[in-house]
Amino acid sequence: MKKALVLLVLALIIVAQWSFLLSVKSDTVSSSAFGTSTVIVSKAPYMYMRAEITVIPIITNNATVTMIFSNGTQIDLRDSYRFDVILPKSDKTMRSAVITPGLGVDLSDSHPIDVSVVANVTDNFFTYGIYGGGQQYINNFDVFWFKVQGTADVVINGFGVSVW
Amino acid sequence: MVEDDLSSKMHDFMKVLDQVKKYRAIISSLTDFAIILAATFVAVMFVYIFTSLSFVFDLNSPLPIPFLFIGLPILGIALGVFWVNHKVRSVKVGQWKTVLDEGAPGAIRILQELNWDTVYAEIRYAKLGFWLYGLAKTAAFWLLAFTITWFAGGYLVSAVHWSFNLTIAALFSLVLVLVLEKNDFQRRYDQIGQLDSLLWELRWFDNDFRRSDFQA
Repeated sequence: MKKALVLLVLALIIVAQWSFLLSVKSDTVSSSAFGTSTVIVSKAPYMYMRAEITVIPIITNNATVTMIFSNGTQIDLRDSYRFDVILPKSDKTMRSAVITPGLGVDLSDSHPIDVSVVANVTDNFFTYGIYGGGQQYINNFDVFWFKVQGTADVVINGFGVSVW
Repeated sequence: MVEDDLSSKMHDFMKVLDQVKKYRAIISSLTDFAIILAATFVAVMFVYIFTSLSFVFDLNSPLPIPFLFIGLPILGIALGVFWVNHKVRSVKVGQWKTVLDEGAPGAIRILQELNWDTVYAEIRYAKLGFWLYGLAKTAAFWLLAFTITWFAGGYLVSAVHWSFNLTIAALFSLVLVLVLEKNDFQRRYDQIGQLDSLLWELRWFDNDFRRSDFQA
């Protein structure tokens, strides 16, 4: 009887571990940026997320590659540039996110973190692209983005967890 | 039946019954075996969870992760098999030898004390245990082979860009274990066959014995 109880406890631990592992997600993209491109890291509000971003400029004929962040900060790149982005939980509850993704944001409860590079975007992309149009400008997902002007290779590894 | 033959037949018979006792020990230690394997799985899952979280939170792992992924299953399975063997070895056998040394009277006394229905039931139970242990052992080795194959496959993917997925790893490791365990299966099959023939022989012997006029 005691042994059966031990087995039951172990089985419960395995189920709990499995459930926890299901809450850990990852997403990766390796893409080329040209013209004006946008690098987008997004997640559902109930996820904690870290993304490793590496931008490798491809400089030909003295062309410049510039990273432009949403607060206006600009960085001219000569060598590859790597940095981490952390998007903390913005909703402590585990409620399902009703996400209406736009271009470059592919989120759902089964895919709650997303990394993407959208090359050669237009000026109105940030309103009608990422957020899927003015009417759907609803903050039901968290997003970090920056622009890359010029030609570069971009590698993003995103990791997230909801149960934490 | 000649009385001299009786002692010798009883000797063989009791030796087989000792073997049956060992098989019963296998059955009773199967729960322990399952507990050890489940605990091993829990430990491996903890390592996996830690690895996943180290990616999420950018932690430097002080643990030798690849070693743990392969070492823990090996350790768990070895411990499980060792524990079952230990239980089997600790079964007391041969206690009938002193009685049988008395010759035919001793043999008849042992026979009279035997509960035939229990003996038959134990043999059937032992057969079942032998199969179950074989299956559990194969499953455990399969899990181990799968883990090793999965890791080796990861290196193959990076080295020669060979497409490698879970199904291929599972099938490959299953075939590998079946080939490596071939002799064990053969031995197991033979022993179960021997138990079957023993059962028939015993029924014959039992009939014979009941019709005879042996007195202790």
